[in-house]
Amino acid sequence: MNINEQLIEIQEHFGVISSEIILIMGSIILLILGMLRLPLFWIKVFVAVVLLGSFLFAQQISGFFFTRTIIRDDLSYLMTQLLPWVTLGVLCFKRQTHQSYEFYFLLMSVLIGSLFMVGSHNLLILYLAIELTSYASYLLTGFHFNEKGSEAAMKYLLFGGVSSAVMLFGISLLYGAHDSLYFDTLEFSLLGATGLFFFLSGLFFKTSIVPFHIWVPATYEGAPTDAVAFFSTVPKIAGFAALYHVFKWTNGLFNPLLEQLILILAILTIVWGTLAALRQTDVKRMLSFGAVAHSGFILPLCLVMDTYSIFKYYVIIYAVMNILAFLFVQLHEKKGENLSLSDVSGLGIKFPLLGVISVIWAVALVGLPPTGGFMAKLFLFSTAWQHYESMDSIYWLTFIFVGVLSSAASLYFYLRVPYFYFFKEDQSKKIKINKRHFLILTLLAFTLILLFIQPNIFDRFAPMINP
Amino acid sequence: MISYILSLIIWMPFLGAFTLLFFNERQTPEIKIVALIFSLIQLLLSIHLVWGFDPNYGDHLLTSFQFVEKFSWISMSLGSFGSFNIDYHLGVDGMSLWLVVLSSLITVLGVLASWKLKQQVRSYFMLYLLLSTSIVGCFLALDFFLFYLFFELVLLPMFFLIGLWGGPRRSYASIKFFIYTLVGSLLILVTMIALYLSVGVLDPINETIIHSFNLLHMMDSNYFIEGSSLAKDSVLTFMGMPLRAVAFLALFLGFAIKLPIVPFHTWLPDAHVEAATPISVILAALLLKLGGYGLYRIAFSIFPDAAHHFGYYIAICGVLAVIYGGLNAMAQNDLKRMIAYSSISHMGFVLIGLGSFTVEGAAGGMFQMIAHGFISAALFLIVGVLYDRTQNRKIENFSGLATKLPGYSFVVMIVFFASLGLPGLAGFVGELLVLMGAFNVSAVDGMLPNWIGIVAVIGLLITAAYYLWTIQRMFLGKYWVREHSWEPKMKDLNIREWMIFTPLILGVVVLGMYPKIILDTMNHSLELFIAHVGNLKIKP
Repeated sequence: MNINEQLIEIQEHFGVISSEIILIMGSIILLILGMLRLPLFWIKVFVAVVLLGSFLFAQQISGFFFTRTIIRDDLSYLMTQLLPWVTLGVLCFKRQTHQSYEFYFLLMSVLIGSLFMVGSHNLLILYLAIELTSYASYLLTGFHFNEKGSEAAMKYLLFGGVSSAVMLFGISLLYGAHDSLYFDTLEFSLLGATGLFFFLSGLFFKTSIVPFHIWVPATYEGAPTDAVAFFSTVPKIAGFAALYHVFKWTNGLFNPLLEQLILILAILTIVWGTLAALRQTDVKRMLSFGAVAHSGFILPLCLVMDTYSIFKYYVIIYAVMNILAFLFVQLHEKKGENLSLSDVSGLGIKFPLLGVISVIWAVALVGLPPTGGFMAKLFLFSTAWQHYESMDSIYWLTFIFVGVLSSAASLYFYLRVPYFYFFKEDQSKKIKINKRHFLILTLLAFTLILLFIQPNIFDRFAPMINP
Repeated sequence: MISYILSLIIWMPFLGAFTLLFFNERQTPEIKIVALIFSLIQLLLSIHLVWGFDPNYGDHLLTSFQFVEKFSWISMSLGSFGSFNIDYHLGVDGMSLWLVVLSSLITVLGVLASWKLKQQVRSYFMLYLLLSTSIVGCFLALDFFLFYLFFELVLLPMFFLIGLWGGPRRSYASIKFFIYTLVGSLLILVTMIALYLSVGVLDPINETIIHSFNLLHMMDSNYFIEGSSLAKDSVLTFMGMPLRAVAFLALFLGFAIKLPIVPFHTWLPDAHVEAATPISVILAALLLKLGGYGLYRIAFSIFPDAAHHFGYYIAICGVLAVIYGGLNAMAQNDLKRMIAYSSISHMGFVLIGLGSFTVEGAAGGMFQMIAHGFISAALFLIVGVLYDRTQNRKIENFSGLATKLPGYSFVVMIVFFASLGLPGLAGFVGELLVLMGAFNVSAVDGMLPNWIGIVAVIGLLITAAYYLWTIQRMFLGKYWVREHSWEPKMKDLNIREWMIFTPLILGVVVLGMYPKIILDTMNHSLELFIAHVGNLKIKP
């Protein structure tokens, strides 16, 4: 194919990435609107409209586009449906001083990067997408413009920079071994395996897999809470989707050894996240370690090919749970302070319904009925057991047992928010939550329960085209 | 024509909880009346259920369920993973029938016992009614998923009921209760998943296997897929043990934590002592039965071969609980703690009965559970009476209560004697049957050695010792109480308290004098149960 034909192909394929294009155009207009000093409320409305537009105009097709660098399949379609909604959820957070049009511009950039991350079928495009999300994330982290925020942003930047360098090095090794950057042309070789490992570390960094999770607690602690809610969902889910694609298309590279390595990493992540969360008193730090543990649960789902629907269910639940939990935290925050457990003590007597909502998200994050969190864990353990059964692999069995035990342990720290809410006696505290936010909290909590009673409700939401 | 009576029994308290949503927190009398009405309807429905129950129904364990309701609830396609099918499947047999009646009766009595509650009344009764729904749901579910759902749903309301309305160390006790039982139920969860993937029927249309959570399919070896991890011929092992044995142990442990067995019992004294009186009643009379019932219905019925293999060790666990619980009870100076430990001791008999694999033993274990439901409820209410008046329950602070509170002492005597196994009262029958089962089986095929029965009898002596000693210390002798300020409050039982105690005392006496009422309806089901679990060769 000569340059001319390639250009024509690229021109023809622009319709395929319509939702990304809407987002890009929207963010450029957002910058102009911001410079015209539009009030923040209208900025938010505009962003919401753009997000809904990208949701509505997403193309449900499958195949390779843009000279085989962009791939469209179920998964990328699911992401164009899910991630704008998650971002919309972040938009609904309480008004805080750091929010400005630049903030939302950066959120949109991360979202765009995340969508490209899922859609790429080429190592270099993937790298560029990851860098796009990373740079915007570094900036978002520091948006409090205080000492803690800067420290968090700096840490994030340093770790992120190193991991991206390692990733690039891995890509160069892969290119050296195969003379190609397309996923499906990679085959197993020693050099390629080394390269793949380095390359994966970049994605593991994004999805906060131990030992690439070091940045998580500091970043989550220092960043604004709505940004944290965003980091813990959009780029992370996109990272997992990218991992899913990588494993799916680099089948030639696939090797039992790799599977064992990834299971070991998953087990380590679960254990580390759970144990570290046990000792936290800052709610955001606690949730951050909890999110690390959840990464360990999602990781094996990327590994196996026949689990698309379970992966889908898990990430939807994960997004709903996390947005709900962080929204809840943010609504209880005082100006410029992180929420500590003692800040919510005794509120349950005056605000029982908020207490019930805190029980729902805590129980969902632990994975207990009657919430979707339980179904997600049930599906996950079922598929893990099936793999154990068919391969008689001790790694899968260990994964199940560690996962189950850590669920029991995670009860202890997740339940501490409702615990302080109801069981500590302190009548002096007051919070103000307006009706609109209360409605959103209730809706999200209700969604979690609905997803338990009818887990197939989202089948229509993103049906499968090529199962 | 499908009868919906089981659904009505389960969801009636839930409906009550829903109704309470429309009440104001300050309308306390109305809230209590609503809770009472809905629990009374539940009780009437379950008595009606006994009326329509045919004690000789069915000729195999799998076909002996009555009033069956079965609907498809969740049917979710998961791509190449297959589809996920969960049924709403209920049914009752002789084993669950009386437990349902017991739960609805205790629920009503618990509402009466909480009549004086003042703080957060609406939340309390909503949680209370939800708890009742989940307990009865456990007894009636025939789908493992549904059972597990109800089993887990017991935890959350209970956690809050202990933690919000309990005593001084309530938060510690509630967290401990939650984590202990959650570990147990997660073990059950893993086994449930493994069973789900091992059981299924071939779909004739597109030749795929349809898995199901149906407990009846799991009990029937024909439904196990060849080569699956928990099939009879499975070669998979875990740490050198066959997987079926491991799965049985996981189930056993999960339910035994709830029962409880000795090394995992420490949540029980804490939870029972810190909970408010009506909640301790529910805990002792009903929650422990969930463990026992789970062993009968699930662990033993699904894995009879493995259960047979471990029968001896299960009986040893039982004896250990009997002796250790008894000795601990004797050492307590808090009356409520003593009663909590006596519960552990009495539940040990259930395990001995199960381990004997005889109809007598199984019937004894089942009877023991029901009798203990009545007796322990009465015991905790007895403590509640004392605690209401004095805010104190130390044994050494009271003496000679019989002269001052004759009615109360009368109730205490009957219940204590029933609990220590006096012939003619409810506690005797279950223990006698269990011991008969234990000696019987040691005589027939030597599965259980003689000493298990003998040591269990020593356990009975210990029980008698601590109850008689308590009676002697607290009720006999010269009237004396520690604090002078308690004197005016020491009044005999009032009408409400008599209303609570009368059905329990009646139950204890009737069950002791005429156990046929229960045994006759249970017997057929238990024979089928033993026929199902018993006639298997022991695995080498």
